[in-house]
Amino acid sequence: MARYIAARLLWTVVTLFALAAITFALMHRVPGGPFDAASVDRPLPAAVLEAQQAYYGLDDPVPVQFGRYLGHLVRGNLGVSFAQQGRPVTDLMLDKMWPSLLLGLMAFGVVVGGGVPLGVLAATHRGRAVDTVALGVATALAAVPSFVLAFVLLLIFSVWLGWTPVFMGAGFGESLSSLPRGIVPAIALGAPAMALISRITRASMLEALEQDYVRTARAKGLSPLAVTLRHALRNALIPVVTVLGPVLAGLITGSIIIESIFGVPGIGSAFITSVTARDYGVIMGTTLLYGAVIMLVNLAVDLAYPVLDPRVTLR
Amino acid sequence: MTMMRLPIRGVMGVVFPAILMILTACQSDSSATGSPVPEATPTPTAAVQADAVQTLRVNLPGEPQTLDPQRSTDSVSNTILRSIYSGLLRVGPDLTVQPDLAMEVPTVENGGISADGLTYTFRLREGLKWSDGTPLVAGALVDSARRLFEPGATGRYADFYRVLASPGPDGDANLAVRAARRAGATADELLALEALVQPSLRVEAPDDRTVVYHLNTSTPVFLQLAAMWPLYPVRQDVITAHGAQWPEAATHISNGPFRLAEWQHGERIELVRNEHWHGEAPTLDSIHYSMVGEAGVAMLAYGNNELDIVTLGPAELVQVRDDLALREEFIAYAQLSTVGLYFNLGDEDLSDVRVRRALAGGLDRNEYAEVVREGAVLPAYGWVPPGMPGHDPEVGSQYRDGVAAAQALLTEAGFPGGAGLTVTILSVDTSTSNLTSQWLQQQWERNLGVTVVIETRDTATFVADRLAGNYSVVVGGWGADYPDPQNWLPLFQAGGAFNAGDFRNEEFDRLVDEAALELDNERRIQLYVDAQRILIEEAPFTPLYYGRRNALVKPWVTGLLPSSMEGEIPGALYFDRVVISGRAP
Repeated sequence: MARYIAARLLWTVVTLFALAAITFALMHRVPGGPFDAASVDRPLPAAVLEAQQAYYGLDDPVPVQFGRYLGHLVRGNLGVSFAQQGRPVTDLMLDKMWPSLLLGLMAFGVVVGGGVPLGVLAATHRGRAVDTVALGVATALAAVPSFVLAFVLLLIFSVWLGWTPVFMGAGFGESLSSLPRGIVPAIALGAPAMALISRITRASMLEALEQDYVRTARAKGLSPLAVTLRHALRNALIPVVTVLGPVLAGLITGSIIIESIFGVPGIGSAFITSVTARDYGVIMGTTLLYGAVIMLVNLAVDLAYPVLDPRVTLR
Repeated sequence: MTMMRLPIRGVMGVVFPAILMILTACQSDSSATGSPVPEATPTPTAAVQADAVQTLRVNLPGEPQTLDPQRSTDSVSNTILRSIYSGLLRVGPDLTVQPDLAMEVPTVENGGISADGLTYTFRLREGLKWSDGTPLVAGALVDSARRLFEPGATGRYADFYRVLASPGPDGDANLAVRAARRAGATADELLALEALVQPSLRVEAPDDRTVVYHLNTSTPVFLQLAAMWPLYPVRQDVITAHGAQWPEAATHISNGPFRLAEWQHGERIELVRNEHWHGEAPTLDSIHYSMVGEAGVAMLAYGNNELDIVTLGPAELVQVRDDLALREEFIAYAQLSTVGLYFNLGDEDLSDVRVRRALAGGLDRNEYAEVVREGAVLPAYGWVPPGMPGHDPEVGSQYRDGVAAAQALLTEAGFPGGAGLTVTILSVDTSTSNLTSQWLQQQWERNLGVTVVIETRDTATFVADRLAGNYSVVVGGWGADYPDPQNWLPLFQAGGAFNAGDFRNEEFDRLVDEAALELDNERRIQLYVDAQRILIEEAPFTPLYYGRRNALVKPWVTGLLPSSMEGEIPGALYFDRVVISGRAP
């Protein structure tokens, strides 16, 4: 087991290096640089532009710049942001990661807490009204774009009911009392994935409920609840967990749409704006973060398999 | 707004622009602006009863890039800077300069300006203090001028102050440093070199209350430059102690009516009253800036009384127009900005002035302003916008109702009925820009029979393609940095930094050069008017619209003074005069 994890972590580092190299090369190939994007109507005078590029070492050949970047990277220095002048990228990312992580985890709660029970209910009531309603809800949530859902939720909870302010306000995640403000955005963020999970749970449960061991459990006279939860669900969860990994990675790395509608200062919008601003340091930092998160979550999912299914061993 | 009406309009009017706003969120608008005389403003009551809670809540369209006055280049940052700093002079609501840190505006008569117009002497008020209570001395203004020319400074605004540096190729300074770095110089050697090659600055503080600026050439607009953020005083000791991180809330020290109390990046900024400010103490205790880029969300928050002022996007404008109650809170005023079409003079077809005039005349600018933009902007025919000295309503009149003339010009230029002429519009990928490009395409194809191709790019690629000359037409514009045509006409001089289309006209250049040195103001402005006629007639650029600001202001915000130099938020230049009176719970 320990060897397995060590090998996987080593591969993660190798993959991140490849990811860094490709991203670095691509972002320097794309036309326009960090000092072009600042203003459409006021390009920097050529002399100033040249001086700026010299100051930041952007006039060196790209491989040289990449070498320098790696040198800084291994020492934990991700450079400075061009768009937010002089702010260290690490500082900026730490600032933005926390709200995204927290909101993502809340949304993950919505996904698991809503999606799995909905799928189980639909499967156990196959073909009946509950199934139809659950399917309808899931289809609607999957079909409605998240920004529409976000505005509808804002209208309901902030404008009509007045329970939450339109603006999430400052300091989300800094105290326990600030957490309820994240509920509405978390629903908007998690809804599409919740719909997906409920569909997968339903299909997987239907298959499990047909299995011999379930019939055996029923024949032994176990209560329907015990049969469903202890025998069918545990086996049905394997495909669900496989999907939950990438879903979690997606949720905690932020969404520009949800973040900009609810005013969450998260990492999702930081990533998108860094690309359009050609803010090289932030592009690299967020890309590497995404890569690391996705690979670590996948590792966690793989580690969860033997827990769910004793027949699986990791080598 | 009634509860029942909002849903339908809310969903239709709010949701769709949401996508558009996300796409435009990253595009920075150049300096923002407005005319001194609002067309409709809630009239401030003569004597207002101030509420106990004096907090103003407004929304910024994005995160400020920096709150370092010498490094700031974007209008969001400048909006905040203007509330937390005081400069030597301040632009008044009538766009004239008024004394702020200075005891009086220097003139030749009071000895503040030397007879040759080369030396400006400012005498500071007595007892000036920083927000931490320490005395503010004239040396802080020398520091700010010096910081503008430091290596690594962005330099976009340093260009404006070139008259303060001894003549010398300061661009070369950085090149020398780069060569030394390549050669393996140590950090200490580099620092020594940087100090050596820095342009020598001609600003001095002979005593603690006097600052003297020596200019290389007479610059009649220098008083306007002295009112701008790059010359706001700074605390060099704070910068030395905290480095590039000094503009954070924990260490920021300023000298304006308000000071920075909190800056949660991307989330909010809070300013509180600066008890050490030299002016009449503001009534407001604090100003809360949220940063939600979504116009639709900001509108919901305004309706929910979470915001006191909101700037309207296109969809919100329509919503307000149809709502009697909201119309009571609506203000609209012209901005000092002009947007239009830059023609690529390096393009073979467009190098013919007749083709450019035809394209300029083949547009119905009223339709654009009223129909396409829903009245959010004003049709434009001139370069210098209304509300600014040098605006001439007569200029460009040849392009009003100019379709027939345009068709004749095209035929004359060898493109009868538009046949054989293909125009490529290079467009930034934002909602407004795409809308504008599509409208231009439709107009030129319908009115002139020209073939129009639209090439859409993201911002940085757009800039790169534009510099490379890969276009025949781009939509672009200019916002005033200071209210003077000197900020506008030199753009089109041969070799000018922003003269992307490479327009060259000797008579135009001569008029603009002459105006730059002319000390007689009336004659100076007339020279700019004459130059502008040539510009519009030769059409390297044709105006399309003048910017307008459309906003809602709650009735309890009294004393608000919208201004053309305020940045991103209505009235932001004079928030120290605002009083909250009778706010609804």
